[in-house]
Amino acid sequence: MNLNGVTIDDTFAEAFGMRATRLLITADTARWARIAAESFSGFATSVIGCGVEAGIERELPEAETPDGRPGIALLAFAVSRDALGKALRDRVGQCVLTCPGTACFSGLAGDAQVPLGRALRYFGDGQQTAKRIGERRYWRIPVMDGEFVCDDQVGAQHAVGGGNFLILGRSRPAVLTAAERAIAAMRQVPEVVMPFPGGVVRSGSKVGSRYKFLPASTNDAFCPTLKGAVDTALDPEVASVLEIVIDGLTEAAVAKATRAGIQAACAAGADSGVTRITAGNYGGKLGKFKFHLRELLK
Amino acid sequence: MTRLALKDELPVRLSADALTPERLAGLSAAEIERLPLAVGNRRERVGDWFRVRAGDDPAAVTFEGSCARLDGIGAGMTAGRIAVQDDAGAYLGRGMRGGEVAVSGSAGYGAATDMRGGTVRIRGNAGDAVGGSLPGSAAGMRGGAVLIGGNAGAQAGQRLKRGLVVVGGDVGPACGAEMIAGTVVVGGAVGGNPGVAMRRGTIIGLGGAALIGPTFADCGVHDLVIFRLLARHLEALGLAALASRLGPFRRWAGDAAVAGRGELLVPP
Repeated sequence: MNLNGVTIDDTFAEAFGMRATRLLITADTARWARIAAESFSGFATSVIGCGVEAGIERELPEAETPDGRPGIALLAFAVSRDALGKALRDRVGQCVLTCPGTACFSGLAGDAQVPLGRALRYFGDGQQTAKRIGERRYWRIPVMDGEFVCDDQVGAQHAVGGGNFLILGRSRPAVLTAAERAIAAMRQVPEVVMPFPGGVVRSGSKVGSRYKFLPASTNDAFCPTLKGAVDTALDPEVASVLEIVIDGLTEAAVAKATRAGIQAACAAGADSGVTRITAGNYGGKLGKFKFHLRELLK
Repeated sequence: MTRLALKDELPVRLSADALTPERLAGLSAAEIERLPLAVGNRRERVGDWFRVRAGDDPAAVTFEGSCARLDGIGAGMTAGRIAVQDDAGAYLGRGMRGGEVAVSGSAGYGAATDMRGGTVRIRGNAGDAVGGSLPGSAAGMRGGAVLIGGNAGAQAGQRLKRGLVVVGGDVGPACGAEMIAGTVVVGGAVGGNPGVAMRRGTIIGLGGAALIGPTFADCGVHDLVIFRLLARHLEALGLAALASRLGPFRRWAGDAAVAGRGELLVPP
């Protein structure tokens, strides 16, 4: 199968079950809401090294936020509810509570609850107060510019993490341009985030390494500088490979984003320097979800 | 809708405890008229005092005629709707857990006492101790919302533990006395000694407050996110005009005679 002259491998992306939440971060201006959200998600690329994967889902107009101020919807994914709770406590505590004028709300009803304000409230040193408004319980923590307000708990649900595809091409600029085009298209899809820097990963990994202390290491089969030295997965003309990892609230959302991303990456055709699209998997033995590339593009 | 029309003005106080939608659901007009009604220490029947018309909607009950001496309307109800087309007596919605009670006129003493959930709407005025506690009880209202269009008497929200009390007009003295938590919003003026002995909770006096006690500390003027959240909630309850007046406020923290984590908010 090829799309605009770009080969689509007959393979699948293997993804995993995760726990996810959506946070709504608001501030006096959209700029400060984004600063808080970017701080939260800045070191949240992989659960292996960061404990959580997170990214900005979209900007929220004032009419869509609980407090009527501009905001950002942010998705966070972790391997368990406990891990998600710990990540929220640490990251909201260090990156949102600290950020001028912000407030933090649950953006998901979910099938379970993860502590937020009830874990952060102790920062108030006894001056914190809870306030129930309607069905929601908030914590008000005094800070130096007024109060930090957040939900007592946030909703969490089962989700999908680790959806992916790889873009292979004849030059680094060509592949990066295709990846940027893919990310721009995928950001229009709701309920997904691409947690790596700019949404793109250059350091795809394989499971394990020759070092006992390292559980994952470089995916040498896809490293173009090792083409002649290892059992490579690359064609001779491939000079660069970039991966896009997708986390989503549902399997359907990940599938939709994968399709949108591949179509955008291939939109300029083979003449742009993109030669092949493939995906990462573990033989289907580890992940609960499989996204077959050719089926997605039918 | 089941309609209960008073035959005459009540010469004595009656208890309407038994006349909630869930208790009347599925009964014919004749069956409802045969239900017992306590009149002092006498046992009479609903039909002795009311003309009953049973309707199609079992979740709705309407009281017609002046019910100013009919006490405990909606007491303990968990679901459904009660409409009172004139005044209501004392203890309207006492111990209510769900559903909605709407009064076109005014309500007497102790509306929403010991309320746990649901909504009480009073278009006119409310008597003393709205949202308060039963005698001997450590806490007053513990959930739900009481929305009063007119004024309320003394000790509105007394020992309030959770929930929302909104008074469009003025309230009498000692509003929020011994409050444990919860929120009282007053569109008009708040009478003397508001929040006396309050531990936590919020009293908002949009028309200012008289005689703020010396155990309240002036914490300055602030425009806080929590006001916006409360304003959104009031809008959802159909109180947009009141919502538009929320914040900024001068914040008085108190009552320092007790835990001192409550707040009294008044215009700057």
